Amino acid sequence: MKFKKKKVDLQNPQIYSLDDDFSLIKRFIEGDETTFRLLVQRHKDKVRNLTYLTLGSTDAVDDIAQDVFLTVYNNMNKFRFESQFSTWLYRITVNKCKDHLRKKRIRNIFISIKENEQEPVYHSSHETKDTAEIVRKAIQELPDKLRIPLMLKDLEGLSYQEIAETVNCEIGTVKSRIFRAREGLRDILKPYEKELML
Amino acid sequence: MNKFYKEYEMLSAYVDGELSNEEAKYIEDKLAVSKDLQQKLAELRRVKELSQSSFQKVAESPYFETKLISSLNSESASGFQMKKWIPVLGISLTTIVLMLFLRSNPKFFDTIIEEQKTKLAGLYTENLKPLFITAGLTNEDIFDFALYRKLPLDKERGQYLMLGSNEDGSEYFEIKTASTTGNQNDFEKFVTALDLSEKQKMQMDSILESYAEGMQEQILVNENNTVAISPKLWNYNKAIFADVMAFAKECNGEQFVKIVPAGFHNIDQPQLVEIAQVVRTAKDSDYIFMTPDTIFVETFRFDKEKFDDEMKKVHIELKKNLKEAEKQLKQQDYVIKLEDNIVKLKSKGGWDESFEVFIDTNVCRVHVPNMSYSVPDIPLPDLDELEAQIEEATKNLQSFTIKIPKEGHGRQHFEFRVDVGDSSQKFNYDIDIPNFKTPILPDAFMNDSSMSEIYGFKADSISNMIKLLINDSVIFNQKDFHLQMKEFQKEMRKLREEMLKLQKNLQKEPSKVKSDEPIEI
Repeated sequence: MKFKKKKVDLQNPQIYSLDDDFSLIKRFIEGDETTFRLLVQRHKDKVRNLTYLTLGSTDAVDDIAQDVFLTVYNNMNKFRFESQFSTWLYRITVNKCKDHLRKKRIRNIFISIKENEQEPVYHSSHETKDTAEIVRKAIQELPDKLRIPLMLKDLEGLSYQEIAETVNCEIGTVKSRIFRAREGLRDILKPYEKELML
Repeated sequence: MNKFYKEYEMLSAYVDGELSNEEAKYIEDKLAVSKDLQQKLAELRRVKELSQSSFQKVAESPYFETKLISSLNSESASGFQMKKWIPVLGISLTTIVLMLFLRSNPKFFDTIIEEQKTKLAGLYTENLKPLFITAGLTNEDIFDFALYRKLPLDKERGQYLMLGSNEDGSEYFEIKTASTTGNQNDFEKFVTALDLSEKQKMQMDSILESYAEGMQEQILVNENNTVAISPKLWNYNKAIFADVMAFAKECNGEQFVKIVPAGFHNIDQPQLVEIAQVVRTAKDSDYIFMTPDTIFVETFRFDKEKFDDEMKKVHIELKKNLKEAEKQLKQQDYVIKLEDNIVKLKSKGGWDESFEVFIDTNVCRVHVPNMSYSVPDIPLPDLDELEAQIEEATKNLQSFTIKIPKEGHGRQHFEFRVDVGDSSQKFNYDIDIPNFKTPILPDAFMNDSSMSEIYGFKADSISNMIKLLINDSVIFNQKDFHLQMKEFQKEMRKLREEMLKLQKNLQKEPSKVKSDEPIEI
């Protein structure tokens, strides 16, 4: 007689190591503020890189990254332990970057009116020879709502689920946006299709 | 959304490894048979490669953590500071907001205060009616008011309103309780001193009476023990004074110069007419309200027409039904207990800040703030000096004195004295009156109009004179007095007959008569 093995989905008990994010956060909430420094050390590069990629320049990276960690420090007790700390951190970073870009666009409107500014610089991107730079500039031409999910996927390696949580939308929307971002990137890179072997 | 788009989208997710097993199986099946999908897959993979290969790490920031910790420390420090200063900042902000608000609405509090004052004033200004009706203010009172700036508020209680002015020219009024006012029958003395003819006396009376009606509105009272005093009283005082003096000068300039101090002799008649006109027609309707709770200034318009109508109705009723009319008349006449006001004000001490108020046992002095009423510019002489001079001028004019004995039985001694200039002549009589009692006239008699009508007296200087001459130790009995007066009249008729007989005898035998010895009747 053959017994059919019943499949039981047992949830593994959560055991935190002393240095994982949740443990550090709990210790911080309990009053050990030294753990915050560990969290910063662990995540500062991700935050700075994401900021850099989102903004497309290094100008305000450190200012925004500092602001992100200050916000985390002041709101740590609001963290609900339902998602990865990195996801929460990315969400804060993305929102800070969006705010910065929105303010920058508004400033640019007035500067353009005032100085009768010429066409944006990135239109001359096709003159650049470096492939990586061509692609980076092409990525910068994508709208925020397409560029950010694409970067979170291709550069940070987040899952669709994590991206959805970071940008606060549905997984289906993330899937659609990433596809549209790639289609848009291909169109922008069309002039270089031979060099880039597209 | 077309089918190809959906499949391309799935391919993109397939590249990312984000499809479920079923979806992966589905798309792999499609890829196996579709060159187009295969081509698309290759394209998407290439784009992903390019995207990933373009990644460039941002340069490291060696002082990132140091800066961050520094920012955190400064933030927490500033947070601590903020917490410490939150109450101060809150008060400061509130003050600034309030200042800005008050700057844009400077009359905000004034409006509130005025509204509240109006509400409060409404309570006290109800049913205000003149304290004096024309009949209640004698010419003597008006003359005394002109000269001595005093008005009787309640003769029975001996309460007087006195006007005064400080050395700096500011005005005040005071309510005094005094047993005697110090100045008696000065109007009579003044008229006598001027040696006015009957016609001129009537004219003088007429002048004083002409102000009586206007004076009515200057002091109003109601049942709430409120006394409203018009600042125009000061104007009336000066106008009446000037008017009386001008008339006196016109009637008997020679005597006027003797009794009135120098400096007031050149009164200008046209100026006087103008002043009197201004005073009588002034529309200023501010009153100083003295209540049991407070003293304040408020605009109030006395509806004279309405009051006159009410008085007319009372007079009509008077003719119809005397008793009913008397009741109504009493309703028109409030009994004001000013001493209560003074006691309450003294204990509470709440009044308009613009007043300076001094309260003593019998006096309440209120210094009047600067108000918008105009005082005619009349150079007033020193009234004390004037009083002394009138006294001096009329010193020798006391002409007739009667001395009546106290109570007794049988024959009583009466003395009549006639003074003419420096000479004096006395006539003494012993008259037999059974159960005689001196008809003393207490204060009530002086102010009792019914009594004064019966006995033909007016409550002015003449009655005061009589009062002074009679010893006040004897109890007055109205009925007895009436009987005694009848008996006295009989005796006087007998005396007259005897006197006539005596006169005849004297004509026959003049040597037997001595005028300074008692005459036996």
